[in-house]
Amino acid sequence: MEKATILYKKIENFFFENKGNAEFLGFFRISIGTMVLLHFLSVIRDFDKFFSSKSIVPQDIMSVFHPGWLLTFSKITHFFESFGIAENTVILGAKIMFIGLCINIIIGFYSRMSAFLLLLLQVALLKGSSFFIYGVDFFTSMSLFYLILLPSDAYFSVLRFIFKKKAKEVNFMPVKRMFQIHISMAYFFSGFDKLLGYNWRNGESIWKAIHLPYANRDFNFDFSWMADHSYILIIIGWSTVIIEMLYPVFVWIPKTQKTWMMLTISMHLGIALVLNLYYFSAIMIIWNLTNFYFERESVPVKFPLFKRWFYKKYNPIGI
Amino acid sequence: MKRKWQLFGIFLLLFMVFTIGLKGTFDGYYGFYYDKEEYKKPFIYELSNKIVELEPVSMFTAYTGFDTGYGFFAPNVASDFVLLFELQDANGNVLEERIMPEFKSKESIVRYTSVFNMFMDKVVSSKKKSESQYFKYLDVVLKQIAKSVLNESHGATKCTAKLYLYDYPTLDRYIKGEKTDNLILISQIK
Repeated sequence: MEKATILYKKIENFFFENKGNAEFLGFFRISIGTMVLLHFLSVIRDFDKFFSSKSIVPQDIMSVFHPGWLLTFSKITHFFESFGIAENTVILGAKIMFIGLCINIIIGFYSRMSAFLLLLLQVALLKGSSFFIYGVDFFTSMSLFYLILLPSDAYFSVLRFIFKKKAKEVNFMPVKRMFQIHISMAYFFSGFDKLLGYNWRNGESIWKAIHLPYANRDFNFDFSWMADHSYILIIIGWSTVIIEMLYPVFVWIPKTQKTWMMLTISMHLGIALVLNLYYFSAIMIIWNLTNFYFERESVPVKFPLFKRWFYKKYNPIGI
Repeated sequence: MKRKWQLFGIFLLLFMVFTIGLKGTFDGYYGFYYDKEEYKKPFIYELSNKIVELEPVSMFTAYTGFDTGYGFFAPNVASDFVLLFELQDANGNVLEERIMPEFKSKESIVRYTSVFNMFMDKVVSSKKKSESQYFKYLDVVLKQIAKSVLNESHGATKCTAKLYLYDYPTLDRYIKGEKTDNLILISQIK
């Protein structure tokens, strides 16, 4: 019983003890708001082709496998049409609302409420046109969810400037710890799943990825020379597996934290340059920086052997 | 007491992340190694499926983006497709060949090419599955994309969509001298 109490106390301390600084809140809010806005603007001229009744694949065909409870953009337009409001007007309203909510998040004006409304709108748009969604859209939704949970406009925000209020002492650590564990699990699964595929171990997956028909179209790098030096492909494949799978280990060790984060960010820069998945790479880099760049004091390693090697003590920063 | 509830919520969310990640691992592994064979799902796989399919769980994960797996490009980089449209006039003369509808940005092209993921079922699904309604559904999707391209093209009265599997030579084949990519016809819709 005593052991259980000690364990619970340790867990509670891990999640609630205030060890970080609040700068990450401003960084996360501004960078996610900006990225979501730019991502939306990048497809706004083709909005109708993905999200309206004139979409490339009609909405009713895309909705065949949607559960009844899912609020999609086509349901929203039908709702307004029943009051005589034309689809074009609803689309215009949605575009203005999307951009306005992003700006609210960036400047820190009721960001949590804005993130909540933006999440509903984003899910309605994207899940409604589910044929045209990819990784970045899920990570956008999750980022907005974290913006709702975090007191994101308590610092560096217009709201604080307008009301001249001193920031309330809010313990953001439980959500931050959850976010850190979440990203650690995501990378672990990503690396482990790759390890299960023999093509990641012999370099074939890297060869295939860089020669996909819609990849490497912006810079057209010539990778043909790699065929004569296939060991490079094997090294890149194994490096990807190791960086991702061991992320939950090395990113939590103070001495290796920054190195591992830089390795991970380098991997995402590579994905951006070669596979041209700019927004996906950007959001993953934001997640990395948010979770581990602003750590002033890292979680102590309790094993004496590791402690000597890895644990650097910092002065705790109060808020 | 408040802290206990907060911890409960955190662990519940992390359990969901773990379960969905685990399901993604099983989906990827069995989808890659057992795509043409019957197999018995391990208990943990069945359990993770059941948990993810619970309505409150699927509602929450759909509205928060937590429904994504994390096995990007794993366990294998999936093959991609090329969808070619042949636009013809009323006399059957080929006016133009296009590979996609007109888009105004690169990001729109990335979004558009995401639709090809679903056509993978045409290649890897078992014979039994290929005769199912879902196969016909995929043809309807193809037909609609072709219709959309036709609507953009003035003068064309007919559009034939040809779905090709993009086959770039493997490392071995490339070293042996096969330097060019191949397009393997999977489906054709008129």
